[in-house]
Amino acid sequence: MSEQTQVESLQAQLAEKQIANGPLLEVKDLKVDFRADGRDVHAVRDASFNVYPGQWVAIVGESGSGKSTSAMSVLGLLPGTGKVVGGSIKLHGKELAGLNSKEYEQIRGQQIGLVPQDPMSNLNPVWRIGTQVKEALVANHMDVSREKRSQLAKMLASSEDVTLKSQDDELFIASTDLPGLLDAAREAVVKAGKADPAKAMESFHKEWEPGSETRWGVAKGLIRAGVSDDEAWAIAKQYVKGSDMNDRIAGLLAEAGLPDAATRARQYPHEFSGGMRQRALIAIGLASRPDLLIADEPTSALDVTVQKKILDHLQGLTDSLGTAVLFITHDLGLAAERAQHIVVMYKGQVVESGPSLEVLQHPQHPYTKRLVNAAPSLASQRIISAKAHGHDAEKYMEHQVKGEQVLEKSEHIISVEHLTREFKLPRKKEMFKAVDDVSFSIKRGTTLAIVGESGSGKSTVANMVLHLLKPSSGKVIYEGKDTAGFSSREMLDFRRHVQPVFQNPYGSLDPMYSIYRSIEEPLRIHGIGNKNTRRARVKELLEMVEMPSSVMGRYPNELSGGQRQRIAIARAMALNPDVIICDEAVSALDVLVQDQVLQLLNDLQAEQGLSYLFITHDLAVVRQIADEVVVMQHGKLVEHATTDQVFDHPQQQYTRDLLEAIPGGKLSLGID
Amino acid sequence: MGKYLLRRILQMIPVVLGTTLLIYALVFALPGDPVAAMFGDKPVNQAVAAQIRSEYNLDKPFIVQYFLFLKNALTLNFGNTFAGQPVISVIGRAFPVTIRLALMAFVFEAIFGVLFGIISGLNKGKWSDQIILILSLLLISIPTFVTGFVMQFFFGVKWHILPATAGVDPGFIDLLMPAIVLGSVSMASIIRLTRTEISTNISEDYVRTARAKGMSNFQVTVRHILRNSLIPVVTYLGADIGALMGGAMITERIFNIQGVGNTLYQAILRGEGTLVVSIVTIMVMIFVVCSLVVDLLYAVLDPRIRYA
Repeated sequence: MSEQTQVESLQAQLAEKQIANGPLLEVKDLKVDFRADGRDVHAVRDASFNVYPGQWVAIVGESGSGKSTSAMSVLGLLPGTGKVVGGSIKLHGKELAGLNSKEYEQIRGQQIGLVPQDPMSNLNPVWRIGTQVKEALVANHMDVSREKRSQLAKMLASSEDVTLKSQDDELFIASTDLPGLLDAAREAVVKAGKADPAKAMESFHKEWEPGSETRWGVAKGLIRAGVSDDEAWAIAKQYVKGSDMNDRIAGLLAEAGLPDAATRARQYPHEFSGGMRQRALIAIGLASRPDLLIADEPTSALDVTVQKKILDHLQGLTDSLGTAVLFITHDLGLAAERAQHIVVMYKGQVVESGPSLEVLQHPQHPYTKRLVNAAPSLASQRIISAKAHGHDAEKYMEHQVKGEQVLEKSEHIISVEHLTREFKLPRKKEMFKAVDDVSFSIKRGTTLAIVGESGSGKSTVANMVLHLLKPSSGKVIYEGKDTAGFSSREMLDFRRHVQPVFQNPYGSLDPMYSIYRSIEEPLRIHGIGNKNTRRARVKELLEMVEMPSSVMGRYPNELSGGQRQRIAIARAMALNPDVIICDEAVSALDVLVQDQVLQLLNDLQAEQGLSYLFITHDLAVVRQIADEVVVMQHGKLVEHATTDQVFDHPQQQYTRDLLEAIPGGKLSLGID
Repeated sequence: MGKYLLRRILQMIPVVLGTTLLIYALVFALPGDPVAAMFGDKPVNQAVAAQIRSEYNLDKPFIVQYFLFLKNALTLNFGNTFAGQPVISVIGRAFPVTIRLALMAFVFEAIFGVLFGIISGLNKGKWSDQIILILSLLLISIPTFVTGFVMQFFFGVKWHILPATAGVDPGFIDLLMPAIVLGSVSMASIIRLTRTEISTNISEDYVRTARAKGMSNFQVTVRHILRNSLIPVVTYLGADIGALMGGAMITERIFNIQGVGNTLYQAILRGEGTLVVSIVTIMVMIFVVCSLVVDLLYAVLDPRIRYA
């Protein structure tokens, strides 16, 4: 059987099985209420959706659409005053709504797992990673010596070359038995003489993870390397005798993609990066082999490249385990790429649901249409396909990209030359170069984007351009003058004309200041106008960012993230700047809000001739807004070209990786 | 770690020097002549007074007195009290009593503070929480000497449940009521601290993740809510040991306990510089050592804290 037909027959088998067994999770007419100020707020209204065994189903919607609330009510973990007030949630045909807490403890972990949204806050800082994985195993009385395989997984496994004979075939390798096993395997492979021993051993070293690889997996590997069936099974039986708790913990972490898992298990969460923590959380979510995994925006806090790696891994893992996934996201492109079925939620209701491509190509509900239009990943996809079809791509862009001639002619408003910044690391002698010899210039009235992963030094560059951080060497030149030599008056003038908008709209506004005071502050500091003219100016600015003047008396906590970011932009605009430096200004926002803010920035540029320095990790956004792109990696500038060149002919492998990581890249979109 | 410890211990030197100098200056600045006070109502015999002054170095300038005290203190010779007893033996009698009292108060406030704090925090908004909150607020707002006298009157004088005062070399029963009085204010603070910590921790993301693992409510409460909530409580408790020693002064006066507080009080009244400074120095040392232990404990409890 060729691989292609094998996959197809497997999928057909799977579909058959899904229909025959009915849905794994059946949510019908779900109603969830929260109580606030003595009133009931309807968070979810009559939501219905199904998840079949082994299927990825995505719930898409903006924040507050009720997507997370729906998922949490399935787990019985609604926050605060949330309550399921109607409808039914059935798992394996058994009603979950109305279970008491003891009964729910039996469901959670064993039957439904969770991969939460924010990897930074979802691990307890005082316990070792391994301990937190262990808790999941102990709580569900998992047998750590052998794999627990679902019916579906057994079916999937049986279609491979080896059939499962007995329960003991599911035993894991113990770390203490591994050296003996590897020796025996080498001997057997050499004796069989069919495969290259070095190559076979290399794959054994990689695949035979203690606490994760099973006896039949070992036998299968040996048979593939040319060892006879009987001998392969004999070796597997002799050396694979079941793992202990520590091996299993390491095995789970290794499955989730953590290298050197046994050592990592002894570390604490703060010693892990965001991506590594998310891998640990995936290991925890899958530890007790649930039939359903709820992944609540599992990668929205991570870089796109890390996001891709982690989702690829999660998909591979859930496919091999036969775990169904309820995937919550606000990015339609991401949802369409990962899930077979999409459920779109808006204001607590399911407004559309169907097979992914169907929803993407023929959205019915106006809200879905807006989502399809707003998703940056899809927008950039549209531009590419429009170009491919010879259509005019410009209507899909937020922004009229300046032609190369225009770019050549425009004067430089800010240039940086050989910018370098070094930091002293604790307990290390050598200096760490956060930014290493970076030069570029921003032309008047254009947008330059700096792209890179976290730690690439792009924010450090922004801070140096803003003069919030002194460069170790190199120059920042503004309007032809070196900013290092500025007198305090010139500096004040520079500050007035170069304004920042930061990533976190929650943190960059003072919670104790009213909106009016926040926007008025720069005017007051620079002594512009009197009370009345300042008031008029604030009104004008609010109008500019399309906010009603009634928000002036309100406080940041009363506004949504997108509204706050508008206020931050209004504040940056207060002094009629020439340059605005946006440091991940839209990264924390929902796609629809992100779209609105990007449009606002573009309109302002068209009207006022502003120049932008746009720092982001998301290339999809760059395509929509930038004229030129600078790609940074490990503090170095690796590529610098116009946006079209970067997208159409990326020169560096790193740039290609970044482009590759844009979700939805492989989707084919209908253009209407 | 070793470097950190050494640095902290070296830091104690300026702290001790500074406090002793300050206390010495304060006692020196006290109005009235301590030697004249010794004669009581009798006329002052100038020859005897001069002799006493030179014996206790009271005739020398302030700064010389201070350095003489320091020089002697280094050889553990703290001199004599005006009554002729060696200071060291006075301290040796007073400190064990106060330490016993402070430790009993500490155990009392730790056990009941944490216990009521947990009950209150886990049942936020319910009647048990309300009652505990009101009681703790009462304890915080009433001064120790009021609680002390009230308890002494009812339990000691009126109902004869516990001894009203503690004599020389008091035992467990004698010190029980004073310890409760001494620990009560801190207990109330611990209740409130524990309650706040628990109610913030209970809605942390990692608690939800723990529940999603399928852990039982009891396990989640102990391993994730209590374990994390008790870090600041333990720090507070550690710092409080020092405060209890100092705070014992009022309680010791009320219950007539011959501890550090009482001795210090009388020494201040008599203007006995050496005795006051000796006692305060030891208390400062206890304070500094306690805060060092607390900081080290903090690193043990919270793996994110590392000292280098």
